[in-house]
Amino acid sequence: MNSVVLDSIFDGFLSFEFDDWFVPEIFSSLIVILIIIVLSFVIHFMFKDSYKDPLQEQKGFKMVIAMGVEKVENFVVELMGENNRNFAGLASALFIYVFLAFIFGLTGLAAPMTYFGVCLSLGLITLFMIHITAVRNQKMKYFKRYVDPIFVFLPINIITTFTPALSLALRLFGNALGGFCIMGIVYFGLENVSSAIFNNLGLFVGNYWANAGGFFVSGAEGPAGIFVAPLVAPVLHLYFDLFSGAIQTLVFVTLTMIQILQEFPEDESTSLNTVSQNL
Amino acid sequence: MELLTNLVNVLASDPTGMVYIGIGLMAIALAGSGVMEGAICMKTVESMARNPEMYSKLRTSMIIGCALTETTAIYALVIAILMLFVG
Repeated sequence: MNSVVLDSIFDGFLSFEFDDWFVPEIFSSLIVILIIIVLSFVIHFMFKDSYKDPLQEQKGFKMVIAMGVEKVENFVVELMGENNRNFAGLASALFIYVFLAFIFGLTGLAAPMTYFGVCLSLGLITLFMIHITAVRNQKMKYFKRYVDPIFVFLPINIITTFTPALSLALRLFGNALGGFCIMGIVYFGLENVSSAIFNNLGLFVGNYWANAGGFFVSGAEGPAGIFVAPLVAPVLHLYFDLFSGAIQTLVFVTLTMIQILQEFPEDESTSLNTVSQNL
Repeated sequence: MELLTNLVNVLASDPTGMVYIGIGLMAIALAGSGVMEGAICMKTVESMARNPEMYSKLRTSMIIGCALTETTAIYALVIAILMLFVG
């Protein structure tokens, strides 16, 4: 059992074949990044004349963008204190990317969050931010954490270093994969129900319809299998993609900010006590 | 005792069944997660009844708390899926 897994990991480890390295989830993640880049350029050029006069009132789409930026800034200030307002950039980037990647499965392409590498790289961003902040704030005292009680604990401490990234990544991955699996089961069941109903009506008898079904139905059930799912699935998509995605995005960014905040010195006004009061 | 010996023999002859037993056992993790999510909701409703002006803040905290508590169950789900498809 193990040897099969190890073989599949190390097989083709050094062979740069297209099929091994082209992952559809990463491709859709790149599409999400492209959308964000285009959107940010559009917003930048829309707000170009507003930079000279920041206090002017915005209307329409610009007002929505301004409200969103203000919401994220307030969120970060409430969590981390006034002098960490700069982390709003990281927070908004994470907000947009995680949420768009979570709901990208609605387009019908591969959902990026169901590939563990995407989630793990998001967790690694948090990990790097934690350690960069720690080095900037604690200087040489930073290395004391690896030999915390005594020198013997060095291996355990090195393993413990990676737990924030793994925990965040597994939380996102598990949520997305759970929704994905449940939706897969629901679609499978509804397809069978629909074909059980509509195949007996005798609407799709000819060979043409039976063959054409393969193009737009995932299963081999034919065109009769597509009629029930659109009535039931949207409600479940609402929960498993939109609601779950929004909540997990909020939790991801909150945990990231709290774990970064832990690396700041305790004596400031941004201690954990004020955080737990404000949360 | 004889039944147990037979069961062990059957399981030893086809060890893939043990994987499925393990996957089923992962559902034990759901018990703790469910109980504590219920506790979160109970305390939040109590607090909401005590001072209703904190309603929206308490709801936000409750949703975040529930999402954090779900983590344990989600780890169980990830382990079960890994056992099912990888192991």
